[in-house]
Amino acid sequence: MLGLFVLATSITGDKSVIDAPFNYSHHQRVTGLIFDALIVLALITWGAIVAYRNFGPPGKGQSTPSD
Amino acid sequence: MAVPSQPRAPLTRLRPDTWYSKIALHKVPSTYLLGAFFVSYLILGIAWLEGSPPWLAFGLALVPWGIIMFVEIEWTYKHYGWLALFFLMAFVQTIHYSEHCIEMVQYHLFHNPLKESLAIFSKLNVEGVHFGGDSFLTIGTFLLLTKFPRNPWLWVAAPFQLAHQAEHNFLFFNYAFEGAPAGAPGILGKGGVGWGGLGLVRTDLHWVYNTLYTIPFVLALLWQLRRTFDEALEEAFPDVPQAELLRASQHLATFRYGPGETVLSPGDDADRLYIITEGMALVSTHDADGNEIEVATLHRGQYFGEIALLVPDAQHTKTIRAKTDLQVLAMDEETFRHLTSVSQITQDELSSVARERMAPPDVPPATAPG
Repeated sequence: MLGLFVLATSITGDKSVIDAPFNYSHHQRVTGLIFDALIVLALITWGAIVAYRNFGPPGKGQSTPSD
Repeated sequence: MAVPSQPRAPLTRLRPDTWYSKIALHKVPSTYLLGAFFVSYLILGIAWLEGSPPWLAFGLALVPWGIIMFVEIEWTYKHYGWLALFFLMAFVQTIHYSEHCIEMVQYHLFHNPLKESLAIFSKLNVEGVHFGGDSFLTIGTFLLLTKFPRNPWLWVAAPFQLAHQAEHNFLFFNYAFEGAPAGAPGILGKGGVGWGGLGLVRTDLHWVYNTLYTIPFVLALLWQLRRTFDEALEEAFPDVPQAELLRASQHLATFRYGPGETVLSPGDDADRLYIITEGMALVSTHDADGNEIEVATLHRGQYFGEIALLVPDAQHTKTIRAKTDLQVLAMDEETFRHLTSVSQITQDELSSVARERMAPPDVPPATAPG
């Protein structure tokens, strides 16, 4: 329930800093970017695998993909 | 076998389905659209009179459209497979992008303060919803890339969505787990962690992200619409290469019949193959006493009319009626000849089916006559 409450706080509500200067702490920067990097890396890997499987060197017996 | 006394007029040339017919309503009767408009305006009118908040009024007004969309997407999935995900994402992104555009109008044209540029669904303007919605679009985009890797516009859209996702990953993580306040700038927002950001406030930056994603996404959808065909065609001709099926699909015309309606009668001229894409068809003939006998039921992915195309000067010998609501794709003779020429297996299979179906009446056919 607490989590739901936290997630349901508007980004334009009273406590929002959307129109005010805000500096992230060093800890927030590091942990946020690590979390970000993990997800982005996973997605880039996904895209790279798709690209390799479809546009990389053809394997033995591999047929040309089609849509 | 009944033969008409007068020769029938030659069949008119098929008018192939257009590529944009795929986005027409297929399951929901078009009259329901009028009903949906009426209900939506009624809800908005009542909400205005009652002084309800816009998010509630528009949310309720969208309900009929959501139902129509759900029914149509389910139909699309049955016929066009993964194109259904494209449609679902287009529906979600239409609402999402509209919200961002309304925010821009409120902020730049009406000069509302940022905190009051809330668009319509202000209650959903929370980090969790943004993160969830963008994650859906990101995963959807990569799933589409996996399924349609030759679609160039998906490759253009993906990096922009990835950048947008990176922004929301950072915002969501810090907000939910590290105590950062709502509405923080993120990575590239003004004052963000990425070298102070691009100088754009969050509202502007996220509109830019969405615009850069939405334009190639729409182009990707249009590109894919031209290259998607009913999966029943592939079920009917599993051995024909996809590229040939795609080419053939551009010459097909859809016909719909209600239960009991006759598709073909004995003696009809034959210059078309019919592939069932939805519903069932009954095949019947007459015995020596003139009584009608049902000889087979045909389902999605099965075809009829091939005998007349394979045997010179042949005419239809059986009656084909719709058993349920029936939808068929009609293929002209030229396309049929091309398909059989590119796949010997298909040619053999069609000949084999035709032989079975032409078997004498006392021998029950294994499938159904054409």
